[in-house]
Amino acid sequence: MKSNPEIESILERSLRKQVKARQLDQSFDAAVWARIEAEESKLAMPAPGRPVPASKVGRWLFVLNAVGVASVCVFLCVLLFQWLAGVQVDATLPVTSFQVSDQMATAWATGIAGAALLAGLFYTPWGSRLRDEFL
Amino acid sequence: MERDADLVAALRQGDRRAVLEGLMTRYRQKVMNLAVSIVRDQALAEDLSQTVFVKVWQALPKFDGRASISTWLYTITRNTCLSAVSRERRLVPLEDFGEVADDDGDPKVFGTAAAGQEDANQASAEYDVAKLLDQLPEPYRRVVVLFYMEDRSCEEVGELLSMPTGTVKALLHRGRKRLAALAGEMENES
Repeated sequence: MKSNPEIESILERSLRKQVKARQLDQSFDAAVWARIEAEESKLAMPAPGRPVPASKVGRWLFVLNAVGVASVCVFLCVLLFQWLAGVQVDATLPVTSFQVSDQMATAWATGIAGAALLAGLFYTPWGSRLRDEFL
Repeated sequence: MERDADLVAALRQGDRRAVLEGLMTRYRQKVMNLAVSIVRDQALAEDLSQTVFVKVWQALPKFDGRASISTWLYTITRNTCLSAVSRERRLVPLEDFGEVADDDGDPKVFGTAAAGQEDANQASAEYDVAKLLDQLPEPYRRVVVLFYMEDRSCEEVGELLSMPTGTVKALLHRGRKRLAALAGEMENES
């Protein structure tokens, strides 16, 4: 049976002898520089050129959203039209011939349809390739 | 570069490479010791020490000099190691430390194998520090481990752990008492 001072003395000797960390040298520095170079070359790599294609589920969600938004717009237009139809407007409207109104409507419709078509094409794979190329 | 002031001056001149080289030369062993005291695994500690210097390299342009560069470095080390411990929940039992001993005759760390190489009388007159430290709770263990790694300097341990020297001395005193009690229990069992 050892006394307390004896135990403490053995403990001190054991701690001094056994508690040690691995000694580092120049190879440690070399490993750090290698990691830094690897990190920096990873950062310097160009981002992938083509966007990741949306999944099928994502596309369907987009279509459903578009249909939903379009339905709401149509519904609001109908409501607005019905509301305006019941309003008595006293102001005199500018006089335009039926032919001029028709021409204007055709021009507007053609413009809007063309813009919509271009916007649609812009987001096809073919369009995105063109965007990557020129924008 | 022998002083921290030289490192800061080099940093102001934009010589980041020289600063990191100086930091590694001066502090790599202290960073390693601190990492070992926290993660208790030599291989992981070395890996984390490398990570610390990579982080330092990335953060050097943002170093504003409000704290001393060593305090800043030790803070990065502690945070990196504590994050690794909590992320991986990897507190390796100290018995495993013997497995990472070098083949080239370097002293084995925390292992009992070093004692085993001594003659029988000498080995029997030593305790298995690994087992004892494994039973010692934090923060005593960290302080005790660092104290013996840092050539028994309470000031160095205080700097590494951002603790007042008085706190280090108190924790060390209580830690040793607890270790002695554990060693006494071990004696009684055997």
